[in-house]
Amino acid sequence: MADLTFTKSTGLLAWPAAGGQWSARSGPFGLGALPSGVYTVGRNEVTDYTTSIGAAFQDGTGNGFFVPIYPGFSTTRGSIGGRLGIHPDGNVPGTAGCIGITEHDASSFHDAISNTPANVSLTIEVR
Amino acid sequence: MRSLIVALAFVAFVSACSHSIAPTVLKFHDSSGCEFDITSFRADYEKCYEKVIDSNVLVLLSTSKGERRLNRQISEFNSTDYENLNLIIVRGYDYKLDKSGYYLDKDESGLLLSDHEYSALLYNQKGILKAHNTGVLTYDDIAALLKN
Repeated sequence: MADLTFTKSTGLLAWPAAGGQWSARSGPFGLGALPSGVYTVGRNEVTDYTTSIGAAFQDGTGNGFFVPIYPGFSTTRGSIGGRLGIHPDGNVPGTAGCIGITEHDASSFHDAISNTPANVSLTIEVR
Repeated sequence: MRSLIVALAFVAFVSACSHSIAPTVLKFHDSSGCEFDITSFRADYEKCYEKVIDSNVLVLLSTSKGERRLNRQISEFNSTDYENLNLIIVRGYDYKLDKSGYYLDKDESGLLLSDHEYSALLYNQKGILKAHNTGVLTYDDIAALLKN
């Protein structure tokens, strides 16, 4: 069972062990929403929560972050057409396949990731 | 004799048109089972996802997944580019149905490809065809085509 889940139909990103859930979306741009399946979360590659990140990755406070995710199944997604990840949904509403958190302030998600020990592996199921 | 000439002229006309007329009715799907018409993408998307999105559409057709121009075209953009251009990518193959992302069915892909191995069709948000070619379009190409 994955640590996090993202349900495309309801737009809910949930992390039960961290006691959090966030509104989010994936797509419609580029190749569309993320394919369903389990992804590994790049826990050790999380950026800072910062204003020094592209507008497409910023929340309503002007800060943002990027957490890469890697499909655990066969797909060309992520190898062509841009990296896959989780980030605030800034700029134009919608993403090009990433999971875009639509909360005004997405810092609580960044906090939850950052507070997870670096040696803990995390997975997310997209469904 | 006269009717033969008229018939030949008609055949020539239809043949010429078949190379220049772009499809105005184009239906495609996504991996969630939603169906979209190129001329009513906004309404179709809202009906399926209860969200309003205005989007331009780039349809990429090829005879194989490994087609060089197909992969070069997809690699031409990063995720920010797609968002800046409000662009979605629809893929279609004439040899198999691949239901990932946005996709066109196999038969329609074959018809649109005709005798080409790769073809790209760019539609604006109103579903009007802005380009139909067999080369790779850059970000600037697409931005310029959508402005006109």
